[in-house]
Amino acid sequence: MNNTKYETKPIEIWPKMKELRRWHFKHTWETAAKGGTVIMGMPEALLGFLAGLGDYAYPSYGPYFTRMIKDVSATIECLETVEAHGHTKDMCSVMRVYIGQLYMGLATKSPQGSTIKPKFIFQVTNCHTMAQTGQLFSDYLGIPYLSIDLPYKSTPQARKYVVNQLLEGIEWMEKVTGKKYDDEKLIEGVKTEWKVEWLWAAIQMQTQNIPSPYDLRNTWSLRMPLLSMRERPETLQYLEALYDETKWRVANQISARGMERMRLFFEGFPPYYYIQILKQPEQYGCIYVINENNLGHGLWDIRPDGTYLVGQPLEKTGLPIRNREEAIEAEVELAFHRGRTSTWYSAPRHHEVVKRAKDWKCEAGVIALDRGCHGYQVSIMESKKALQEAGFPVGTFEHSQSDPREFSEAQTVDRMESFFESLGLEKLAGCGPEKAEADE
Amino acid sequence: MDALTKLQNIVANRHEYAQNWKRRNNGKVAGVFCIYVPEEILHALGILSVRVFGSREPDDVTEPYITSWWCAHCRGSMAEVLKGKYSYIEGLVYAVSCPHIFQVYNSWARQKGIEYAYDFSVPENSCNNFALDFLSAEFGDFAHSVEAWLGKKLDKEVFSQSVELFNRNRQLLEEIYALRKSDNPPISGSESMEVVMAGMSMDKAEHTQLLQQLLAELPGRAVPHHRARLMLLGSENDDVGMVKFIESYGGLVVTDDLCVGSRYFGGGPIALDSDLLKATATRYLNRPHCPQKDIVERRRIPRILQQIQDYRVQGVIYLLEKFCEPHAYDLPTIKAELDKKGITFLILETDLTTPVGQFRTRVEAFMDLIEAKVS
Repeated sequence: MNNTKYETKPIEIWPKMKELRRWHFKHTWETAAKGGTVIMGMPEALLGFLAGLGDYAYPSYGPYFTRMIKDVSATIECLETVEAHGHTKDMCSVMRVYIGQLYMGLATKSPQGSTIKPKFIFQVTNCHTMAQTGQLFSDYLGIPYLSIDLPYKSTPQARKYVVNQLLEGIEWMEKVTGKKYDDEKLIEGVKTEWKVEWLWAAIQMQTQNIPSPYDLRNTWSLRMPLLSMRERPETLQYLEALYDETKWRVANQISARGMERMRLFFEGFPPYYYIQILKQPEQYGCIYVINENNLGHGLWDIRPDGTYLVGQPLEKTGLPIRNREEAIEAEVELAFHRGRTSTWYSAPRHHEVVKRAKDWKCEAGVIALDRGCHGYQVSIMESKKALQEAGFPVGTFEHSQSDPREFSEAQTVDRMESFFESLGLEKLAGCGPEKAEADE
Repeated sequence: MDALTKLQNIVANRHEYAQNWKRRNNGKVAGVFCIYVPEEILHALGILSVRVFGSREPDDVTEPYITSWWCAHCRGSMAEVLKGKYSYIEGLVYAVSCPHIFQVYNSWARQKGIEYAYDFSVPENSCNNFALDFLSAEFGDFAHSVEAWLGKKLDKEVFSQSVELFNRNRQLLEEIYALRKSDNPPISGSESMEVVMAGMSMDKAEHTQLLQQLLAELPGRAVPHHRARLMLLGSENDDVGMVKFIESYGGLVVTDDLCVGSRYFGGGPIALDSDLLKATATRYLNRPHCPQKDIVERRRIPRILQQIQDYRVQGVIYLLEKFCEPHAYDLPTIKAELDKKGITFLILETDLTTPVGQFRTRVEAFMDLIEAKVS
């Protein structure tokens, strides 16, 4: 057990992350007011592609997810609305919160009360529930649906398939929006996205250091601008600053929480309405340091043995980006170099999770068994077995990431405390859980 | 012995059948998940493909491998695997549809050291303009993979013969289903499900012969008096017992939209083109889809409405497998469409075991409702 005490400092770039997140949603209403293009969906896998739309905005499947999730009563009202419309509780809980907003008339309503009509739904089918949510929104709002199949295997035909869909999708979007698609902006968007993804992977790799400059609670929020606006120059500036700060923190042994008695992995999604669970190990002088979902962003070269290495910067790949076709090909290449968090990429998870635990120098960890996300649960029990077989103690708890009715705070905290104690840890004086400092 | 009894016996003893087939043919058996696996390719390479079904028994063995909120089909299938019921299977093939099945496929391959396991993508947006080329290439890779496993090449002529056989088989199943359009169908819903299930569990040529015999035997046969003509919709469902249960209260299932039913053989024949892989992919893309593959254009609803009209359906029962997301998404939309047409509708949420008392009350009330409407 490492009892070294490290210096810790607030993350200087943190306010910028918050600012970008606020801007993302504000931008939706500003774009709508200006008559710009607003779309709906969860297009995170292909943001560079959408850059060609120009100054467009998208509020996912509704702008109030974070607000809802911070208010348990509002979340429950939302979920019950979905059930009153005939859906079951077994569907993805995140999607149910979005669908609830749709049925409650909130998904397209601004804080000032005006209503927008998105031009179309854009959805990538790397998650089966998102694909069906797109269909549902399209039907309900009476707007067209552009769905892009993203196969889970990186094969020549898969790349060609996605490229062809995107090229055709450009013409489709021009017809639907009545606006010309801007190839120059596409090219810039893809180049920016590539750099951003490279930077994020490089930053994540720095968390392998002892002490880690960040814990999982930090990186969970620090990644948020990548989720929603990865193709924008503001995000690139943010990532460049974050990268510099990360290198400085590592060089100066600045720790996330001051102690790393034990480094722990946390696999699966945390309950969003109880995000402070990611800080629970702090009471024991420990940190959660890695999670598969955080590697879902980033440009990775994933080796057959499960090792994650930072992928090639664009200039080293030899990929030219001089026109629409080349930009789309690069965008698709990038999509196949992200972490394997897709619903369908389950086969190697059980050995990747072990390699990841070793590479991030973990001694044990927790798996969140999430009733609210079926896709991410594929192979989760095999991962647990593989980790245990490799000698890692694993604690588990059940929850649903966006349905607080399926979570017991008291039981979960108690269960995790028992697990930490079983690792030979005891609570340390002066180390208490703090309120989560950021939204999800 | 009549053909129907033979087919029912094969369903009841499918594991023994497959083991006997192996002995007789000195061949290999592949377990297939979902209806998008092109079984024609396996057949042409001499493999018996059998659809993986689960048991409808309380499960106490699967939780170390899959979570308890996986659907009954998956937990039941995994339980059968862990209990050694599928020990004769050398190969596994999964055409990707839902994540639950993917987990069973992976766990099976990992825990049981299977000789050959292969999975591939099937377009979710099956009506996009590039889906055909992609699926054709996926089928091509799959064929090469099986060739590498067996160490032999897919012979074009043999492949063509397999396609013809499967076409004939599907056509016969269509003909049997069509007999159920009559006022007094010669075959019940549960029997029809067994006929389809047998085809998923046995040699296709033998099944085809039995279907021909069945078609010759069915005229003149009649099922007992029924109170209402029903259609079943829903998740993966191989629970013959549930269909029998429904029919025991006076409902007669005359058609279905199930993957162990009309979705399996529907969609027309494979054209015997020079590019047989592409022709095969065309058929698989145009087949009746499950909700997972029914975006962007909803093709499922018009088909269901057409079946309701063709089979003069009076009531629809949606067998919604607990934890099945794709169908949970579609359920309100389907219900709304049927409500518009005035079709009486019942949802039964199914799991590994059936709450008989509760379901009996609901099914009986459903029958009363239909009768009241009709009168």
